[in-house]
Amino acid sequence: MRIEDIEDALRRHPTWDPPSGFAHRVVRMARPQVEARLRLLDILALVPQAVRDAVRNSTASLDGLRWTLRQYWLLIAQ
Amino acid sequence: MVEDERRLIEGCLTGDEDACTRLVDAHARMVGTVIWRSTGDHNVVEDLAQDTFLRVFHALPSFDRRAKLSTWIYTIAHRVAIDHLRKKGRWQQEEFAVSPDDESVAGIEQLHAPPMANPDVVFERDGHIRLVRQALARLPDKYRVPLLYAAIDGFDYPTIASMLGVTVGAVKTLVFRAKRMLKDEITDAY
Repeated sequence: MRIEDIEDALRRHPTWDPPSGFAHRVVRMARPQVEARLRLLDILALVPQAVRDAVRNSTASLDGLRWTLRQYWLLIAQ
Repeated sequence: MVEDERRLIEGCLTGDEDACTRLVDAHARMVGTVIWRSTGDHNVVEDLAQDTFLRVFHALPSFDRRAKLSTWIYTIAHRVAIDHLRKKGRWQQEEFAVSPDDESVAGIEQLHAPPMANPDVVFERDGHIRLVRQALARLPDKYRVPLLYAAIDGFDYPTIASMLGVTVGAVKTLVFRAKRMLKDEITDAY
């Protein structure tokens, strides 16, 4: 068998077709984490600019946001 | 980054479900194909594709806007697939680094489609496909995965290099070596 035949066989390996409604299902599953992030952003709007800047300069992942806010509340609670 | 992509990301980050759905729709086929090719198991593709997009939405705020969104998403899909193989104890390779045993093959051209013709050719081709798939299953993961990714329409070597975390030269070498090993496997099987 030639290399060209091997290449042809590899290209004929099937591709995956997502089932109907796949995207809607995924987005529904992701909704809680997206909403949690947005709630944190709402809270963030209430805190001082310095804290917001710190968040923007952090990794800004959901965990990063939570951690930064927790540090802020701990600080003002002292 | 193109403006449409930028708007899509902004939409997802502000909780626009329509934008989130468009992002999934635009990449689901390739994500599923990456997972199918690396795991070889059609039954796990939908679950792992879902897992991939959940990770995408989780990590989207930290996505580097200078990077290509699709490559970033396919990299996550690749990692999800490899994590799955590791959990199942099916992953044998630690990394895709090129070893001294791998010849340097800089400048290898991309795969290109040879023309197909009459029924005899088609019959012979079906036999080839079966043989190639059997031989593929015996290849070490380090070679099998880059070779299968290189055969996906629209995946170029820079994309695969980003996904595997290696240089473009390393991808070329691994793919070239994989084709040679595959040919040897098939020749031995005859």
